[in-house]
Amino acid sequence: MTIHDVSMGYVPGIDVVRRVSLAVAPGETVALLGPSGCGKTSLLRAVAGLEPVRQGSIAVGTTVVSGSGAWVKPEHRRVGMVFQDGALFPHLSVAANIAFGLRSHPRREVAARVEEALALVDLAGYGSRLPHTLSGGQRQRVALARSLAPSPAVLLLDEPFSALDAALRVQVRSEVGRILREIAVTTLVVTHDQTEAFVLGDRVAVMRDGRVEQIDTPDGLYRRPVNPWVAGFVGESNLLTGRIDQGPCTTIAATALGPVPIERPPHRPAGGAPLPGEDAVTVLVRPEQVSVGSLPAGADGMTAVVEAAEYHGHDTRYRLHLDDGSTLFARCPPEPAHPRGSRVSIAYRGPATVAWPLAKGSADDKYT
Amino acid sequence: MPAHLGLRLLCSLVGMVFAAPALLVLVRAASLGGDLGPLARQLAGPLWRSIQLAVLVSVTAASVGTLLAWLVTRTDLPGRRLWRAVLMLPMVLPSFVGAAAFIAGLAPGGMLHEALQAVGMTPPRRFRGLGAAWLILSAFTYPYVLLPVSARLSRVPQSLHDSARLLGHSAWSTFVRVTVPHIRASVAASTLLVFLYTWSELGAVQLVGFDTLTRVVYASRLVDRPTSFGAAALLAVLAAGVVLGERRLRGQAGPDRGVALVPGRPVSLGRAVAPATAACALVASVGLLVPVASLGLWAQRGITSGRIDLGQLIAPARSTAMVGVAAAALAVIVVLPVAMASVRHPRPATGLASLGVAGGFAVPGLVIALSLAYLTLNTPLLGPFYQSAGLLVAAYVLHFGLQALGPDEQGVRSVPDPVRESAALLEPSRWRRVARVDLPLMTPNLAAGGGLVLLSTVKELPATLLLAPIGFSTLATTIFNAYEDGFYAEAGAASLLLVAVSAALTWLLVLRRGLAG
Repeated sequence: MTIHDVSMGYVPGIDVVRRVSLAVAPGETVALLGPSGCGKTSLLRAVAGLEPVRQGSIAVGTTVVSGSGAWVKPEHRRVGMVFQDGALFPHLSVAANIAFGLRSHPRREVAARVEEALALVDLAGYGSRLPHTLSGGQRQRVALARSLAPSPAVLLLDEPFSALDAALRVQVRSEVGRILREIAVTTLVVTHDQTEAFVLGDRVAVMRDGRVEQIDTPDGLYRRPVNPWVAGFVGESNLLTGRIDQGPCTTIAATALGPVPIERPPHRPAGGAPLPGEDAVTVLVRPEQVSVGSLPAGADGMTAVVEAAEYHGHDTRYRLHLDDGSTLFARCPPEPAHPRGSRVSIAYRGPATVAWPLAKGSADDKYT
Repeated sequence: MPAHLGLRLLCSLVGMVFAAPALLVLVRAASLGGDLGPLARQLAGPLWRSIQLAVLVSVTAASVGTLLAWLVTRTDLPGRRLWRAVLMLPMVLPSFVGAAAFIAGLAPGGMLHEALQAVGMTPPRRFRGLGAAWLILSAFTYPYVLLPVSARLSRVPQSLHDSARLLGHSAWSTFVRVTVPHIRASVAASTLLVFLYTWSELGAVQLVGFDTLTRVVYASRLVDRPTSFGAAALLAVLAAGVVLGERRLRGQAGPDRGVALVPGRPVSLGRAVAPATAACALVASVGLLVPVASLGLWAQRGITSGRIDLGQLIAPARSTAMVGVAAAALAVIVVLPVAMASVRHPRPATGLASLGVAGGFAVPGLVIALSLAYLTLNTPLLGPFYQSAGLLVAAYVLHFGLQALGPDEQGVRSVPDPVRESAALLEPSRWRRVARVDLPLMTPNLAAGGGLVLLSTVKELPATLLLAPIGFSTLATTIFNAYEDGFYAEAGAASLLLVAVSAALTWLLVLRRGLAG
């Protein structure tokens, strides 16, 4: 499925989706991740044909379904969609819901397909139940079975777990992730939840204000965000200012945490000196990349005071007060514990991280 | 002693009192019995006309109401929000006032008469019979379908439509297979209410001279007891059946479970915009514009010619308010035990009691009035009540108590157990607890229930005609008598006052909520 240069909106003159391009390979799952109001659901509805596009085109396979003068009605797009609320027809049984999209199939095949779809979502034997007798998680699974039964070319999921409570959400999410991988259907899933995007998506597209900021694998997105906003939206982040110190084969930034190794910016040749005015940078340090130790401090001699310690079992999250007045978050193994008010030594640990020229990564661009 | 015995006994007692008038009529009809053959021949015609009218009006109101509901909720009809409000308004006109407005409008000198002459058409000489009754009752009852069905339609989640489309169904197939099942029960339930309304109607059919069962009861109540009670028994039995059906359907229409609503794209009417707008305009003219203008013209003529004195309206208006407010307050209090028992301790017996209250509403007001008149005239101790305002208030309470029951139940629900328990821990005095916690929380609901009863009493005619003491006239009886005697100018002013009061109450109690939903 290909989305090419699509813009759309509801009010004349205001685009909620601006020139977005995105390709989903056959069998791949792409998650559209963004804060509410970023246009991700609108884009999904445009793919389904529930909203028109103003510019650009959408193709399913090789068929253009929206844009460039083409328009295929939603019912002819072979697109399946699971809504936030499941949207099960309350007056029909589970089996009749699943059979709803199988009108063109011979009757004998319909029954077999319904059984198959129910087995796929682990609800065999629930066919005669009415939707309101099911739990929220079961309803979403029926909705998934219903949209998969006609073998759609593309499956769309619109915040499919947001109506479920927290414990159920984790369980249904893993279950749906398993099913999507098992049947390898081309899928676009919209979510505002980073964990959901990472669990389900082979790749994740981060959207903001109608634009796609970055498309990458979950790991790439977490480790190499293209700007401080993405860094802050995807996971917890410390943004430190630093000064580039160009070594012969490595790039180091001097920060309040001590020296931090920086990945070579892809657009600059190895060992090249920073451009004028670009030696001041914003450095991304994830909390788990801060090591906290007891005094005395190591060679670099950086220390901080523990302002707060939250014990989470698998790790402890510290809020550290640095000597230059800034605040730094760290996630460390629970042992040894550092009590509140104690002075600790701090250092960077882990592979090289990313940095952006300070001028570009200004503070107002941070995700808060 | 079993728990809550007092409350449960009281609840059952109230239920029996509400069911009593209808049962009394049935028993009386059976005992008067006599010659069934002639009676059956006598009632066959009116029964057939009642059924004819009720079926015709129900079908018309259901089609018009559902079509308009769809137009104002799911299409891009220009000004649909305004239409939605305007098209509800005919429900503020009692149908006998509507009938009177058309009769007066078609009479020589009336607005319609002059308008038809102005365009060179001959005005019809009379406005009578089935056609007239059908037009009037349809024009003023379709809002009872429009209101619930449009509320229901706007609650069909957009995601259901979208899902159906994505599963390969066309717009039409989606309408038939998704939308219709959603509104079917609501349409059916509201159509039964229209049937009941038409079935119990007296004022309009009397004015247009269409001989239905109610008219037989009214005309023969003093001269031919067996006929009157036989007709009343027929009315009661069928009405009770209709209400049972309505309650069953309403259960199915039940509240839908919370869903996130995506603002849907309305259906584009395209070239159908013009006929759709014309249909809305036609319905609004027949149900609102023409009657109100016709009444206004007569009233204005009467006032400018000095023939009527607005001061004469003060006494009927005061009487209307007095009996209405008394009935409203009493109804809210009387059904409270039923509400409390059925919310806090639901049992088969409480269900039966609320069915009794519903029975009082189902039975035409005329039948209740007949029953109460018979009871007071034939029971020595109750004799003094005949021809008293108190008896009229009692009839109102028995007939409209159901309208206070729903709000009362809401009120009881607004004081949930945890709140009552914490109140019990903090305030030891039971009465002060009621005053400080229960009443403040319940007041809005109780007031709404009382308001609904008041609205109904203001528009009520048959029971008032039968039971009002001599010399005691309400707005409704003043209007009815003036029209029967052809005093259009006098009646016009009183009608406008009644419509204004009814409009204010309807807006506050019914439309404001209905339109918000």
